Amino acid sequence: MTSIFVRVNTALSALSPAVPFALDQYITATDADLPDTFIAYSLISGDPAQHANNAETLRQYLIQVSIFARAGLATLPAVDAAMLAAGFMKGPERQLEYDKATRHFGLAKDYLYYEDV
Amino acid sequence: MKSKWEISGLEDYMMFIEQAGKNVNTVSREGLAQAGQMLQSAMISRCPTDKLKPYIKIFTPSAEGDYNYVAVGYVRDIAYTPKEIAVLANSVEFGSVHNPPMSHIRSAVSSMRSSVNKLLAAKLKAAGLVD
Repeated sequence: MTSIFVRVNTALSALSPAVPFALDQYITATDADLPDTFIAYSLISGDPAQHANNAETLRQYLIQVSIFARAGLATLPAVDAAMLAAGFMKGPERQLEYDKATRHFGLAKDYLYYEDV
Repeated sequence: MKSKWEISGLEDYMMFIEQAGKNVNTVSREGLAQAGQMLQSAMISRCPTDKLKPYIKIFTPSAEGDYNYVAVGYVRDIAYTPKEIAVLANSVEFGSVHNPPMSHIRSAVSSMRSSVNKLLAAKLKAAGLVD
């Protein structure tokens, strides 16, 4: 079975132009080394969503994709299109606090994926 | 030619609906109070820092007409949640450039959704309002 992490990796790899991304946290030697635009994604929860005959039949994954950009949030990578094409559904989104040290703006977007177990 | 359809007992039916409405409201508010506590416990147990735990609160079950609801988590009011706590909670829940999200609000809601639904259904069933 394809893991949820592989599904997100595949979706984000399809972004064009390519955007650097990482699971959980994008780590570089110093803050200044961080790319102007990058993505960090995390698995927020993976909960059973349906049971039949005492067995789980469906699982719901909640994924947060955080987009960080120094140039602001007006023009961002087409993450929605990439995630939707990979079978995810769009959830809520919210702006993250501006980081004065790295000068990145941030936008967190939630996506849901339902997988037959 | 005409046909006549007569419906009798409509007054009783309307009275039942009115009474059921009152019962549904009472029962659902009781259920929401319990659900609020379940959600609060789930959020606190997932919260990664003791500094935030005291600020995860239940906003008393409320009603606007027949719309009943309960809000649980960080209350969006400076009287309940100081600014620095709100900023920290946001950073912990949603992450930042420096730290990944450590979700304790969304993951608690997500994992408790089915339990809360079952609780509310059981409450309504016990009150004889649904089969």
